[in-house]
Amino acid sequence: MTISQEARPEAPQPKSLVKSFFTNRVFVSALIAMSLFSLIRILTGTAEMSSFQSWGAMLRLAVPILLAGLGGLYAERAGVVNIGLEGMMILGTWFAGYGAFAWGPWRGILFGMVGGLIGGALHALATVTFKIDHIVSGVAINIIGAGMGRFLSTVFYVGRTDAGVTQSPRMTGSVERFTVPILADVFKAMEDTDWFLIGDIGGILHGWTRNISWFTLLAFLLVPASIYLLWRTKFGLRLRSTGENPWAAESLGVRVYTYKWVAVLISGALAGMGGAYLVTEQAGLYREGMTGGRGFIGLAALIFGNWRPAGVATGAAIFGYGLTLQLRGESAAVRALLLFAGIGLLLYALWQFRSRGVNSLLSWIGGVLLIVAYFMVEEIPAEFIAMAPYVLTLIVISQAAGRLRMPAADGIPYRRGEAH
Amino acid sequence: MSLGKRLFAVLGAPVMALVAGLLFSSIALLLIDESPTNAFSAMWQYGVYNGDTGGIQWASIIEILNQAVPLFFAGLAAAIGFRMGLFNIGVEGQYLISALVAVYLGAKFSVWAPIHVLIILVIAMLTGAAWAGIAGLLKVKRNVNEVISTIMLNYIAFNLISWLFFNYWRDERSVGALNIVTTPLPETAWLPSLNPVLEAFGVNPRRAELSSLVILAVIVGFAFWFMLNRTQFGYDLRASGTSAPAAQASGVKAKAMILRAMLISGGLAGLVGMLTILSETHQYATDFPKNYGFDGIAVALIGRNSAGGAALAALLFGFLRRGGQALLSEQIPVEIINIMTGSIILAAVIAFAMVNRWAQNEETKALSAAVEAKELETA
Repeated sequence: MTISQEARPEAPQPKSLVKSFFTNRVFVSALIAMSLFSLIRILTGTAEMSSFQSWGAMLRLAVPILLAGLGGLYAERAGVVNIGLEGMMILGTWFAGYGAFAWGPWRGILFGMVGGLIGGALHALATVTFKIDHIVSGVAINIIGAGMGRFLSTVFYVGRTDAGVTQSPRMTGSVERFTVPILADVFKAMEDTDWFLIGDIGGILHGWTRNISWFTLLAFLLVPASIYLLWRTKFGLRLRSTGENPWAAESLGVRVYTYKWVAVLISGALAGMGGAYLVTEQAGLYREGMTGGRGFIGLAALIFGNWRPAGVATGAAIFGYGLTLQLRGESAAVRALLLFAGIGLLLYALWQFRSRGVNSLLSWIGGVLLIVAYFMVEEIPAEFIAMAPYVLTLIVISQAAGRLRMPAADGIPYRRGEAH
Repeated sequence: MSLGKRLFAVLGAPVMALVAGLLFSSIALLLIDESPTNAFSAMWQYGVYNGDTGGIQWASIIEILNQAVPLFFAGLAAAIGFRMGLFNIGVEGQYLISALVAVYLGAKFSVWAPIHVLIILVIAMLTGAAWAGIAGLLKVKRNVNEVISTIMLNYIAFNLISWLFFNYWRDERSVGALNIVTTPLPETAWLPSLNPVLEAFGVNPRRAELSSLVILAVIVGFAFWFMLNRTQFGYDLRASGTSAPAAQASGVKAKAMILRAMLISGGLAGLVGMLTILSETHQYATDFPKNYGFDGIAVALIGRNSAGGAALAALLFGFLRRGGQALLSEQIPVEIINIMTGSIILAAVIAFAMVNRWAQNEETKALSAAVEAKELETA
């Protein structure tokens, strides 16, 4: 469970990044996991597990979840719980659909962000200005978002031959793509060797360097950018202080209402951007219901990632991988993953051997069951592949609940001047 | 407080919410060059009363009631959690899985009708309670936030339902048809309609059939009110919602409360699908009505988490759904209903917060005035 390592709250920053990288437990466990993954791929002969197309698809499927999760991050770091992400994302898809067909993909992205921003403004108005319960407002925004999408389509698209109440016209053009020169070919060569570990790492990196949209790159750059903005700038410190202890922050002169407003607006814009990604990179048009609950999944990725940008990215990657397997219908790969998860759990249990706790016991049982399932089951039903990420989230959150730490004043309506 | 002020404290927020809903949908209608008065009167004439074609539209009113029953159950399911600050977002998954399990098991046997119906209701409530109970246990044992766990459990439920339904529990005879169904319940599990009662009062319901589950809704509504306002459990629950530390200090066991509230919520959610199953289609199907769970959250919000409020909100939603059909014939986009619902919800929660605050201020003022008067007296 690599999550537990990342989940240590506010760990001190290591001095030498390079040196600590190789002694880092995250790195070591990732290497072990990767080796196991590779071994199983070779033993079971399931090449699909790490073809570069799968990894490229994973990247594309992870981005909307990542953007929604980052959106949630800004709001919750400022103490505003945002379960309206789904509604803001829907607004993002509609606006992006309109912008993209009228003026091309980049304007579409901008429009999508504006759409999300509108949802964010509603949420900020309700929670920050009117101090409504955050969950209540979020639920209302999800309902409004879905209704607005339908309504706007009716107003703008009814009567057109190339669109209707449930979808927009197709966008013109697409976001440019790039392939990293030299590196992509090196990674391809690595992948083609098919050697243990080298072949798999090559496959992953090849998938992440060939034919990548600039929008994807932009989305991933938002992770380090958010780390910098939230943890290395005055703005970020103040924003986070309004989520940890707004009363103290106010007493130190931080304009809490302003920071919360800004945070929720950023949150909406990012969720809208996630919606725009679905439009410009996946469907090429707005279609009703295309978000398919990704806003909620982004929220899960946020909690999974312990309210930290890198954690959100990890969560989004796992959900993205799950979606990849589901959409590409790779049941052989999923079956091999059962073996992977089973052996992984047994290794974890072995590592926890001395603790003799309930967790250790459950890991033993789970590991054995998964391995038995691998040999018993011919083909895994698509529904189980689809539900796996949600089950995994529940397991991870319940296992790591003690180590997960949400911002201290998250979800508490703040009223200026109230003692606390 | 004076009578006027007291009236405002009770009715102010709902009225403001309704006005906001009308206002926003009017703006939306004007934006697309439609007349708001035209739209609203069409809804009213189709849904409730039309002087030109024979007065009260009984068929519509029956439909509104039938729509309101599942919404009401879903609203109560959400409301009981909200009362103590526990957010069960998973009513949707809970009611769908309950409906499927209840239909599947209910079609397996046939006994004396009242017993059959009762057994199906109990199965549905137990299934819903069990599914919600997972979230309750995770919260109590592992401190997992219930908002996240119920959302995750929704998706797990949807997939589980689709797996069970399409692989094992569907009726093979319906395969290939547009609407795939389970084996329907035997007739012993069909609830009689209340039409004979209506006809006895001289009402002509035409083709509509009023489900007798309306009676259960009324009973459950009263039980809900009684439990919340007249029992120790209800008091503890409300206390936990108002101030968890204070409730704990007075001996309320927080974990037991969470678990119980979650189980009751899931049990109520189990009732949501029952009207369709017992009175309408008698089966689970690909076109089984969805979204009652999410709408139920809205019903609870507008109904202020009380039984009476939820009933009114459910009727309002039922009216909007039924009345919305009138817009079709007027060539007005039905989606206007969504705008109306959304703005009513948002306006309702904002108005409730504001009116609450105003009422608190009034109380404080009245209290300090009373204290001053007392001080003057003693001096």
